Amino acid sequence: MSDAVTATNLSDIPEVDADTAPLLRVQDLVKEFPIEHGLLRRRVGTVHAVSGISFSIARRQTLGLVGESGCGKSTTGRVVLRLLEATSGSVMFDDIDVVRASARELRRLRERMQIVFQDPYASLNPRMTVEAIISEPLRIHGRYRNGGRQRVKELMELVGLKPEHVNRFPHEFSGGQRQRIGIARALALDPDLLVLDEPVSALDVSIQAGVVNLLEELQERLGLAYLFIAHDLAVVRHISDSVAVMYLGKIVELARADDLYEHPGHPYTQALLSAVPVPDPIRQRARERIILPGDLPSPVNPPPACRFHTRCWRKQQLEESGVDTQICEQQEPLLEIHGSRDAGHAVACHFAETRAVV
Amino acid sequence: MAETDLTLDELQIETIPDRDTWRGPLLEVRGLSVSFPTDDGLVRAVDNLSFVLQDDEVLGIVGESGSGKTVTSLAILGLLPKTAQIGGEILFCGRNILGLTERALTPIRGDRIAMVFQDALAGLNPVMTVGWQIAEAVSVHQELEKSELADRVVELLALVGIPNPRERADQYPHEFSGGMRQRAMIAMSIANDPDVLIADEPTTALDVTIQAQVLDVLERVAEKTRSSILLITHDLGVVAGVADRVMVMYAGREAELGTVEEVFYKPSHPYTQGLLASLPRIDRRESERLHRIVGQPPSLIHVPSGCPFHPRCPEAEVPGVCVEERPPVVELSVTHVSACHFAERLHAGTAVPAADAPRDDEQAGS
Repeated sequence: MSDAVTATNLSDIPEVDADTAPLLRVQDLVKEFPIEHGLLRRRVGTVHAVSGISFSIARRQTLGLVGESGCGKSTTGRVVLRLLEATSGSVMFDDIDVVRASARELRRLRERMQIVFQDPYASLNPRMTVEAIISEPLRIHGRYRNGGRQRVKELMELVGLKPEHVNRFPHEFSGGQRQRIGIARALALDPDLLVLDEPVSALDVSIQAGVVNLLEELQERLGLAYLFIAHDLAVVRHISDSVAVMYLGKIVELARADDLYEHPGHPYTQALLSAVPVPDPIRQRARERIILPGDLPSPVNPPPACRFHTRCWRKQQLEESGVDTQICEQQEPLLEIHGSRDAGHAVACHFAETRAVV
Repeated sequence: MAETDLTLDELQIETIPDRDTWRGPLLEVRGLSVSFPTDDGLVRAVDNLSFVLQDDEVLGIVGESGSGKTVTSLAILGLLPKTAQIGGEILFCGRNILGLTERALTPIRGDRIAMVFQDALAGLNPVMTVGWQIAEAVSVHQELEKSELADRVVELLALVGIPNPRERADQYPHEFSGGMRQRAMIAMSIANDPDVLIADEPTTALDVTIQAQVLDVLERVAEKTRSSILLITHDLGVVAGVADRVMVMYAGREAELGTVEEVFYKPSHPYTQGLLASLPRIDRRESERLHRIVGQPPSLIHVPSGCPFHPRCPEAEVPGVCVEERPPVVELSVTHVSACHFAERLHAGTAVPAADAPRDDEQAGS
């Protein structure tokens, strides 16, 4: 049916199976950064930031992308929006490959995918009024003349700000309110997908809940899909439908949120979850913390085969009980369906075994 | 006065009793107030705060940005800027150490009271080896032979779980990862077996698996050195796992203080209740919206009258007592207090309010 429509405005195309077909499909995405040295900028190495990851997000759904500093989660978000160029792989947004889109296509795509940054102090221009900040995307895309002023006020109301504060500057707002300004700006063009890069990490606990609730309400009202990038595993569980865990540029586990937290299958996910303290003294003291030895290896020179094998507590345990674990150092484990509980639960480990740690 | 004579301040320090002979509270903060004059007015960072750190305990201080928790720790160490207006007393083994001169404080700072700062990169000197810096911390307070000093450095690095401590001692901070730097900072702060260790957000900048490593070290160290720890953090989960007691601060004042069990399972201040309810949890399925504390943290220049939490409080009587009177510190048990006009009602009525006490089916844990 959509064939019949000449695509003058992408968002006018009626969606077939709007609720089931994935909105975003990322396939074998790779992003490497060259390390250059000297006057001639000789290439002396490569940072393997993202090394072949695949996932998809359906409309109205939230995928949480978690992992520790340097795992590649923020890079992934930026490549998805083509704020960074992918080294290889594809990012399909509806039927358009973002990685290979022309400048004109990209401009249209940008109306449909937007980003909210972590630091509400650094991501808003201190010399611009709220009106100027929120209306900027409208102006860039030529939508301001037709009721732009009204639209800005609507957006402010939508995110819980007072429209009469439209002429104020960012410094007149608190951290939580600034993050709301950032969200309003991202929503100005009525996008389908928001990449949220640590949107509540910089906020105090009592403010964080309000912004998380707002994001959930907006998703319901506007039918948004979210790629929610964060290191706070509690917030991610709360807001996500599915969760992908990254380690050194790879997705090591991907599952529905409750399933991942209750039945994690990858030793890294298990260590990560076990390390998150629970605000409940008796419970917290009864939990076993899996302490990982050593530090994160450099993404310039990631360990071969399974990238986690140098710090894997399970490999160590298996070795101690006489199991041959050479495969971990020789063959890369694929992200495969694990367990019978949930068909969508994938784990990349040769010795995957469910273990409750929360 | 002859130069060899001790000043009154120094005398005060000289006569601080030994930890083993002192029977009273190790550290007692009494009516501490700290204000900073600014162009916009007086910032009341800490307002009439009192608490006690007992021997051999971990006291968590929890609060959001601007609640006064860091200023309190700086006051204890005598590290407040000169512009600060300070009132009250800080008794260390019964002697007031608040407002003493730098010179007078030197014998105890870093020796009997030490601090682990949040930012390990800023806390270490980039052009000196890690070993040199730890040796310096030791030799300020102890006279050791060169070889003894080197051994002590290695011993300290080993204690905080740094592999190959002998080689690592000769490396520079940039050769350490974030978690190792924080552990080196801990090694430095425990160099002289302090009686009191103040840890200000010691894990905040760290990833969760590294945080677990550092907390592990901190707990081990506390046991080994018998230090009492003042753990300052915004993370209620960290407090639940590590602290014996916890004080919740709001707007530079004490909101609630009790054992972790009392505060987490029977929170009796509306702010504590709100905080616990607003936390998303990794150990729970929840489809509903998070509880939200309305409004913004207060300005410390124009602190709300009466109870500073009243503009955000669901229990507040407005207009009424909450606007007019500063709430008394209500004693709910020998160990549990809450600074709320309705503390007793909240304590009686909300046995399992926001945070849930463990239910039978899940109490055992995993």
